[in-house]
Amino acid sequence: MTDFRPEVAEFKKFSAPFEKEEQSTSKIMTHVVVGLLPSLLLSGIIFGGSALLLTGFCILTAIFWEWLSGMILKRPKSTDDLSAVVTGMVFAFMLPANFPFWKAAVGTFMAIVVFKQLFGGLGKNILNPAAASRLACWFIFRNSFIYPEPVVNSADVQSTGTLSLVSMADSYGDMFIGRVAGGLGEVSVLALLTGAFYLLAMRVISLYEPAAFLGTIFVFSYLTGQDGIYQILAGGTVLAAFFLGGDSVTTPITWKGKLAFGVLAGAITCVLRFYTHVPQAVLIAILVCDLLTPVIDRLTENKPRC
Amino acid sequence: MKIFGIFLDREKNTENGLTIALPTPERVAVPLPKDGTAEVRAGQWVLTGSRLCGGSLPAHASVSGKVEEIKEFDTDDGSFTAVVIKADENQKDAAVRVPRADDRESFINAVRESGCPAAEKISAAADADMLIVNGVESEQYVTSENRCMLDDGKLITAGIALISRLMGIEKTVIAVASDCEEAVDAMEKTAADAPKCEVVKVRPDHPAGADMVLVNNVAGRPIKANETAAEKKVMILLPSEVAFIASYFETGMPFIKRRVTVDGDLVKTPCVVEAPIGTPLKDLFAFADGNLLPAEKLVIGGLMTGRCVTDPELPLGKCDSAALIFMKPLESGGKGSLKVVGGQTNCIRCGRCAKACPAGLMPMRIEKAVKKRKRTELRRLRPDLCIGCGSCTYVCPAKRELKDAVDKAKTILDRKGGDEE
Ligand code: SF4
Ligand code: SF4
Repeated sequence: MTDFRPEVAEFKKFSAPFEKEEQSTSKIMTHVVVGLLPSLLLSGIIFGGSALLLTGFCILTAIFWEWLSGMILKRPKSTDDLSAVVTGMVFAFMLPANFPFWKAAVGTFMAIVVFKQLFGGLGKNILNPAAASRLACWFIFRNSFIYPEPVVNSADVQSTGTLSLVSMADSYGDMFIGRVAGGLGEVSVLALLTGAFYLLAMRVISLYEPAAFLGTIFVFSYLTGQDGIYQILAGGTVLAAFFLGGDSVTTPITWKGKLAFGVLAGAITCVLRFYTHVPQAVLIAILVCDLLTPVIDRLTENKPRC
Repeated sequence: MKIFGIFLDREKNTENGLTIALPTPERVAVPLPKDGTAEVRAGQWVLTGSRLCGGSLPAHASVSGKVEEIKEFDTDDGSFTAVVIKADENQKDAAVRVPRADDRESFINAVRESGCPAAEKISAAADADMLIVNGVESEQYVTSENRCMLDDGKLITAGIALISRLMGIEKTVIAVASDCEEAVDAMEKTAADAPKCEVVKVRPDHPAGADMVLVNNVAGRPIKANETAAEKKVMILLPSEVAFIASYFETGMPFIKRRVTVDGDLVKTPCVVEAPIGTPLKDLFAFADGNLLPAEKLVIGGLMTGRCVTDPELPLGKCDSAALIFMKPLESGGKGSLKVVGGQTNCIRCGRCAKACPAGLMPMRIEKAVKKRKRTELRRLRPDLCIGCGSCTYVCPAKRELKDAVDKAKTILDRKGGDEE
């Protein structure tokens, strides 16, 4: 910027308010990335360096697709807002550690281009891009979802490569720390909670949706004679609660709406898990509720003071 | 249920300074009310305090001197007439008459004669049983009412006594933001002497000083966004207005000067000055060592609800509590960044705007409905209830211009016609 000072002051017309908070979309996204870091760290410890490579690859491709689609669709440059980084990271966290890279690239392509940009870009997508793309990948690349045994595993786990939800044999402690088979970032509940706590403290996400979601799963399981804690610890439920349900774009705006979303998603998850053989229950539940979000939003709108 | 607002970075640089009387400016331009025509001609001599025009709220000469011209000011927000007076050397006061009032009617008329904007509020709330002295300045930089509470405690006591006696006020509450400790102390002394009066500390958020919020939180009377304080039998006056009324009934000198905060990132010595009404803004900045050359933004009033003007020659009005200048919309987007140009993204539906809105509106939905021109939806969203506090735009991380959208929604609804989809 040249330091050119005019001879006469040139006042411009602005409209009130003349000051804005420091908060910005990219700052919020940065917070989410930081909130995901503990899980990334633990996935590196649990599954080794390939987990870090895969996550990094997903982030880079996500940014690339964002940039490319922005160019082609002639949208203003949107890579700065870092939402692509978040999408890439969350998507990677739901993959097995040995997922082929090219398939991951296809996955981020679907997430960014199909489920986000074609809907109109950030803020206009109805489905959570990472979740939608992950579900699509699961159907397309069914046989690539082979979960390797964690590098650090406790001795008493025999069942290798079986998800906790299928084997029903992992201990609470293993599932809490993450010494079980599963997606990169979704296995360690401890790390996820650490990140979620950071996001709550930063007021990036609110507790309404996760609490309603996990609470519903627990109560539903209890009432139907299932092990509620196991249902929460297994199958990426916590990742979905905080990082898919905490995604402001695809969840309702008001706290009432968030509660409704959580309860509904929790109930659908349990119904699918207990009474059907539909796999990926959590993802389907979240995506169905994403679709219902406009309706929930309309019903739980704030009432003007009149 | 209390209404909670948002916390602002308040940057009150002038909180601890004294009030400085501005040296008589070379010339002033006293704005006339819309319905008043000047009673003076160019070339005539006037004394300080002599009447310049009649109408609903008379204007008075704020300096003595020669009327140079009756000038028409054109601004982007409409035009107004002002009487330009060139100040003479030996400032002389007009022979003013100390007003007398023994009942409501005569009191309201007397205050109206003084030209003080409080007259409107008092006559609107003539049957109020509660008086709230609104010492809450929730916006950034503005400190003039705070200064008034520190300086004029005695006058405020007298004013409260006078108003409650003549207007039949049963209870007086002085509302002060809880973080302005000195002002709270000063007001506690004031309240001890005044009849049936207490100090209430309010949460220092924005817009804690808005009428609707005061009636709801301080008076404890639930209020709807489309009701006025007067309808709830509450009269809300600023400390400076109360103090002025007391001094007016002592000396008879009409409303010709006011405190104003001069601040901004281009002002070297931010200060609160007592300036004659009609002082050109550039004189205020010159007094406070403000550098106008690199300035890009000139704001009268607070940063949240004030107005932006483009001409430093404009005169100070009766209700202008602050004059602020800033250099540029800081690109960095850091603290105090003024209207960041870039950085705007689509709404990420975070809900901050809806949470901040004291009127309980959904600004992001209003913005979307405005874009799509959906009148039926707009009618349901009630943009007309907006009290213009600016909180929604302030908090939006996507930097959406929500308040502008709400204002636009109001005009769309005012126009006749069906849905233009
Ligand atoms: S919509 Fe109006 S009342 Fe609500 S926050 Fe925005 S400016 Fe304030
Ligand atoms: S504050 Fe801004 S980003 Fe958040 S919901 Fe409102 S308009 Fe959207």
